[in-house]
Amino acid sequence: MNKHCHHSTDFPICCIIPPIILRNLAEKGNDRQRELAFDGLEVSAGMRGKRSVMGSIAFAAALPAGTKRRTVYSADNRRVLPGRLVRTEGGPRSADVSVNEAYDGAGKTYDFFMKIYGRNSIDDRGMRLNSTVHYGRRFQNAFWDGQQMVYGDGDGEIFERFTKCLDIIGHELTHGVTQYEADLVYEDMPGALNEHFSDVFGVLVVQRSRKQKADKADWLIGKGLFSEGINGVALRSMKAPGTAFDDPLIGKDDQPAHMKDFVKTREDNGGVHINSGIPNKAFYELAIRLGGFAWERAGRIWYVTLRDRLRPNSVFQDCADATFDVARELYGANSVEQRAVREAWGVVGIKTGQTAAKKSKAGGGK
Amino acid sequence: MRVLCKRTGGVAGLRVPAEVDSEQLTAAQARELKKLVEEANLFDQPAKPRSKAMPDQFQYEITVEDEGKTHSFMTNDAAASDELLGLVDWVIAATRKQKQGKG
Repeated sequence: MNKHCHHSTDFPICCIIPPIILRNLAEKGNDRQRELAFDGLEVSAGMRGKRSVMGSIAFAAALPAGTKRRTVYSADNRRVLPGRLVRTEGGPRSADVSVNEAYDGAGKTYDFFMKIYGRNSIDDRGMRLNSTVHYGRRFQNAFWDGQQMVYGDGDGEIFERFTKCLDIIGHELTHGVTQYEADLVYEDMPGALNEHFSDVFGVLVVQRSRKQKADKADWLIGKGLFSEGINGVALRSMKAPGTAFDDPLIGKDDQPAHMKDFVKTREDNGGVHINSGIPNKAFYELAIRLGGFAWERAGRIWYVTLRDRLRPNSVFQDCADATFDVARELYGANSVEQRAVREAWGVVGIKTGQTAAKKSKAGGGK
Repeated sequence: MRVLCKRTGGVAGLRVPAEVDSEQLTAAQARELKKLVEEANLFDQPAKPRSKAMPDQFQYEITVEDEGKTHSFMTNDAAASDELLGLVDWVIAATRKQKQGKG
């Protein structure tokens, strides 16, 4: 049966295959088989049930922009990926809260990128959003493995389940977006930028879901993720880096908010979750200066910068210069937005607008 | 035998230092530690990980000392075997238990 699907054409012939076999393919097949199986499962889930068979085939073969395709698996507390298929697009809600949170959070994040920036999923080509919950035993983490989102249950002593926070889901999914765009190396300053963009769009997904203006938002990452008894409000604060937690069991939040406090370390891939505090603070400063909904102007400048301007080895200065240029292109030279970008980076000790000037003087610029 | 293990990174970016010493464990725990260290081939690990860490995965700095031999290395979730990750979890849990016992 695997063979049959593997050799099939680009059309989802699998929609005539019994769901149990599709399910097996979705869990154990190669990438191509899995895609075909999903299309089949979703058709049989009834989402496209009213269409004729021909209609289903045509529909699934050419996915229009804005078509969400989510899949949630359970690792059943083992370290396996993707695990057992538990929910597909359009399928019924699960009795398992983690499954629904992963599904709904991926949906809200997809909608955010689609409706605000016109981005069609992680790869901007409608990529399926795969999530695995219940990864490992009492696993105290969530991560992006290069292809999918992975969530642990937490240990109940320090961490609650990692699907609990929408901004964490947005954070993980944004790692995927970054991989398909700037592809920032996950180490040292480029790694801290990679983390920074995940924090930015993670909080913006939350702010948009609450229709919250910049000055009303808490700018916290992972609020509610710490278990009761831990002295901390969240994992990080973009508004006041270094103040999110201070607890004998887990230590103190050591994020800097200024370049003079930049941390050189080989831990944490060169401090990627530490030094991200610096650009995080800059983004917060910009959003506050502009006011209103942060995803509209501040977020757009950041999104275009991530998509079009940064390279795998970009550092903070490159990011500052790129956001300054993008602000000019989007809103005009010396516009309120462009001046606010310069001021915001200035707050964290990064001068911008200068390297670009130097470059053109040297004749190397465009 | 002593095993030192520092876990950093993860989406939370916490630093979790852990350390166990056979002499401070019960005989049964010490036997288990020895078995886990052997299964994880701790002395044969390369100094640096062979795979890049993916975003928000953990990074580990590990040192093992036994019978006068010492070996230190760095690894991450992408590079480490299940046995090695199992040992790390065990060392972190044992360390926390010891601390709670004292506290």
